[in-house]
Amino acid sequence: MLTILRILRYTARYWHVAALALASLAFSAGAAMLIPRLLQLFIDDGVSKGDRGYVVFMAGAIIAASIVRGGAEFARAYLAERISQLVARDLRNDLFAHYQNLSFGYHDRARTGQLMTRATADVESVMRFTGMGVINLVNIVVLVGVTLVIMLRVDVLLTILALFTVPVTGYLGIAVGMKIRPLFGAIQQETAELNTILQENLTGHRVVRAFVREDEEIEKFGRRNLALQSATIEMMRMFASRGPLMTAVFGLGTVAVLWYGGHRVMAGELSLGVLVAFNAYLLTLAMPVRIVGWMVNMTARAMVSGERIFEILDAQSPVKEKPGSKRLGRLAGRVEFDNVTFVYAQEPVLREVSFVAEPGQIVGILGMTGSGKTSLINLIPRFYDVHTGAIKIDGDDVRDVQLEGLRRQIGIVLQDTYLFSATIRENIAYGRPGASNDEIVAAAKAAKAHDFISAMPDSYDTKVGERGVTLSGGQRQRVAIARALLLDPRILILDDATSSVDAQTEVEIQQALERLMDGRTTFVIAQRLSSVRQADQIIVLERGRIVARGQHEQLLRESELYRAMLGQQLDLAAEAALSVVGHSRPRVAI
Amino acid sequence: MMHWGSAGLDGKLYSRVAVNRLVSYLRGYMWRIALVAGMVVLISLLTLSGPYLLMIAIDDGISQNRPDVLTLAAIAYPATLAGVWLLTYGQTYLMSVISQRLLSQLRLDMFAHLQRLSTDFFSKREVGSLMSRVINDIAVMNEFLSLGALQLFSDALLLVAIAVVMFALDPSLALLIFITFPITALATRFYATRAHKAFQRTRQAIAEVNASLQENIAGVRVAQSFAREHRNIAQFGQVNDRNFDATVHAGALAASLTPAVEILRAISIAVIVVYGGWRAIDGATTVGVLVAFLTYVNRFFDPIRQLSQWFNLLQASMVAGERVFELLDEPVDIIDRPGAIEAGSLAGKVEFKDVTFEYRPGQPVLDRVSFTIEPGQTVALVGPTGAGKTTIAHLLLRLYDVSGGQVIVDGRDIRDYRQRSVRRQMAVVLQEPFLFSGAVKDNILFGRPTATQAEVEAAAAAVGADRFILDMEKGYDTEVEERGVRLSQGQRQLIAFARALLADPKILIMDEATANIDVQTEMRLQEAIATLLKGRTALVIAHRLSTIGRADKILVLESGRIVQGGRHDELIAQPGLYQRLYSLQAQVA
Repeated sequence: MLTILRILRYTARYWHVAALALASLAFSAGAAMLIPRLLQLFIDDGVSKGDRGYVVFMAGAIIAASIVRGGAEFARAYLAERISQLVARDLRNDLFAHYQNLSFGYHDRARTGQLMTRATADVESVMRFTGMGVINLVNIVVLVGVTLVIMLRVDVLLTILALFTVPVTGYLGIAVGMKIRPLFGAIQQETAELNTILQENLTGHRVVRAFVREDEEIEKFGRRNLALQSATIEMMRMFASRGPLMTAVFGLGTVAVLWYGGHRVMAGELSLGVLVAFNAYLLTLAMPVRIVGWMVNMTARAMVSGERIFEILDAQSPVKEKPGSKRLGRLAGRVEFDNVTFVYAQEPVLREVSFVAEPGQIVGILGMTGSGKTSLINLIPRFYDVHTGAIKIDGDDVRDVQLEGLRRQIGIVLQDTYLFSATIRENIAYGRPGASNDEIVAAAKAAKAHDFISAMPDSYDTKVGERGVTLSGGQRQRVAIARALLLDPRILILDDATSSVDAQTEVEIQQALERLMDGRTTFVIAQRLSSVRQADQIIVLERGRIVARGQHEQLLRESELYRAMLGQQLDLAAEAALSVVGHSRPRVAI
Repeated sequence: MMHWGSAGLDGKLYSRVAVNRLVSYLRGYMWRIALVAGMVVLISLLTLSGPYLLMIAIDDGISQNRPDVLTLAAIAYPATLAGVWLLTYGQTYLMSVISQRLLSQLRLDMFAHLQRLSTDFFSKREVGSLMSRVINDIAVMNEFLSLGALQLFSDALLLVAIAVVMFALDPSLALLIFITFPITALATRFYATRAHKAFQRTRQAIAEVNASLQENIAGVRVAQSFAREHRNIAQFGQVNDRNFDATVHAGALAASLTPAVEILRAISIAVIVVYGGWRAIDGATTVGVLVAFLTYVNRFFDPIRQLSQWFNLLQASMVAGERVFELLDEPVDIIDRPGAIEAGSLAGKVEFKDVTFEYRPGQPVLDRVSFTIEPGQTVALVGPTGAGKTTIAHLLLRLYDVSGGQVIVDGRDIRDYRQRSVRRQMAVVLQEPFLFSGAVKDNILFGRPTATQAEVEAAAAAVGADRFILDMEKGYDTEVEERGVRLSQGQRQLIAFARALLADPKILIMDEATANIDVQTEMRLQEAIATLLKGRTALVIAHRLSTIGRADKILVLESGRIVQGGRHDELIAQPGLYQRLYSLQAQVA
């Protein structure tokens, strides 16, 4: 019930549209009732009296009344559609905004297909309720109220007899509503599952093709598809059995009235005209009963979908800006990890990590796969919150400052390069949509992306497809670097940013980055010696702990792990230098 | 061929394609549909018999003072109620079985078709808007088929019945009704040209909403990194507004049908009032007939009004149907030739012969590339980004077909084989490993679903992935989450290696597979890679010289051409791109 109230609150924002819709409803009902009266006048005063002029006048009056009725019905239908679409739009906007703001921790566990289903299929089922449901409800209440008053005034006993089935139909209605809810919930859930499979399959289609897994994927989809099919049939069956049953039970009222009233008429206690009229009134109630059946169905669905929508809207982002958070000015760029422990999926990923990066320093982060490097840098822009300890930027705990001001000053190149389906220009300007062309080109040049972009048919206006498939891995990485550079960030984070570019490009980017790192605090995760050699300090992680810290030369001397991790490259570098100089035959040790 | 996404833009009210195709899907349900139609007729008759029983009860029972007739009617009436109930139940249930089976068949066919479409198709379309066709468009058709279709049929039936009665009553008056038909025809045409386009726009608009949702949810991490949330929200707001506008516009058009029907009804009634009134005054017809006629005209327009309301749903699902069939009819561009043969167990000899390839006409990505990989050999591709290395891998997998020249496997053009029989003997490790949500185990099993747990564990151990897998709380059953976000990039890569190893391919393709793995893990992986490469033909794309040093042959690619080829020690000795790259890398290191 709370869910329905919340949905109605969305509707209430547009109460004036709803009021207009109801007014149109009243107009169309009034005009509809006027027409039989006009027809009666036409017979009684026109045809019966042989007044031809009156007949023509009545014809005109009927057309006029119908135009009013038609106009009012149009307005009602249009306004009903409008209000439901307004509610749908608002719900979708709210969901989208919430998706954008929920933290990494939430999105790590959520399924894209699931989230999409809630913003489409669930919004649609709520929308149908607000449009048809709310206005129909008022319509029915008025219709039933008026009819009841008239019936009671005609004969109280007959009215009671006529409505003796109401408790049964009422019970049936509620029961069907209760039964439809879990069934519809199952349908929405299966739809979401299907959406999830579909989304993953389409995103990963290349892997599916490469491993020839089409048949298994079709089978997997087919299973869920079948589940959705049976869930839908099950709900339709429930509705098909109960909806018409309500109508049938209600019809029993007519029988009671007829039989009992008939006997009273025969006994001379009641006029036949009254009985006929009474029955006619009772018949006008049959339509609302049918509609109530529908509404129960619609309401039950709206409740299920509303719950699914509000479940997300109510989801608290683990990373939440405190009220009254400090607005950050331009940062100097001092980053301090103070005894940070970070737990992910019940496992400690970082343990008691402490270090300080002074403004302008370059910090190299080294460690084996899964040692916590990416987790460490994800904590700086507060994508996740620490478990214990604190991260301080220019002395402020990141949990005490406004997120936007913090993140705008951090440029980050993630390992998984994600580009949006838009032009290259828009992708580079992603963090600063107002950037000028010169600034965009300058960023692209710095990231060594300008040349390949210029060579493309539409240059900077070339559309890159979803996930940028038309670009090679190295090209995408360079666009991502340009995107980060355009922010002119105070803190730069490079998560293995040059892993998939060739050596030549890497040297060029390396040189460009060196200039750019100047005056910024930079964190570099890299597997390569080259990236860490010039670092002011290098942090070596092992299973979430800092096991060594210092500069290259120092670590070479002191840390066995460091030597082990770079050893191969050190040999190779030496050999390469030798071979290039002397054109000798190197023995490549692998 | 029509432009993709233009389905239904020709503004026809009735889509022959959509209807014909739908009918062909319905073929298997013919007897059930006939049964439903029979039930509809019976329900109409039973519904009409209710008032008739009332009439008997009043005229023959109460008026004649015969309680027995009244009682009889009072017993017969509930029987008709029960009949209507049972029949409605049966009809709705049967119809929902038909429509749900039909729609789930359509969904499955679309999914299966999507499995056959090439990489090229996907590189031009947004995932979210394809999803919209499979899910949202089918949902629209569902609404029509499971609710509207029956109503449409029974309303049409009622319309015919009333028309028959009217003609029986007074043919000349009945004919008068039909003077409104030209107006109806004109109005329908006016509506049709607009409605179809309007509903087309609504379907496109919701697809755009879906695409925007999909992309922004998938890219939410980037959005947050760049503090772009506000702007994305505003942009989504615009897409959402466009959907709102399109839907409300279509809704307005739909709503405009009701006043049109009302006015037609009023014109008909006015005509009867004037002409019939005239005749009644002249004594040519009775008032009773006139009254009855007016009642029937009124009721004649009720089903038309109903019809106009279902009409929207019909329009919407017509457009949805076109979009569904447009996808189903999308030609599969990489198909097995007639007479393509099943590749037996391959030796693994690969030959590229003068291969040219262009993604866009006139812009060759590969220019007459020729090379041979002998069975069991490892060939490494090196070269600057964008030189065409990944394209070569795609062509070998036959994710694309060559524009010129031939890819030859074991002496036969790859297009002469059934594609899946070749691909089944290949495995690939990509730079950005794609994992599916599910357990670690399932992702490794992706390479060979029939493998045993022991085999899975052996494969994981061989690539050194077992250690971190066993460290996780549920080991091999740990859920990796969508795209494997639970794991680090390097860990994902190791799983991709295990997956490839388990597939036990004849030909292995590694596209920068070790770029994201730290050096120490890579060194450990070297052993695994050595196992992996033994006895297999391999095409390895890499930047790190440590990875390519063991290759039997190195091909240096630049701007789509092979500029150098040979062993590492040969290449290093000759001036050229390889030497330059190598010395640069040494510098970097």
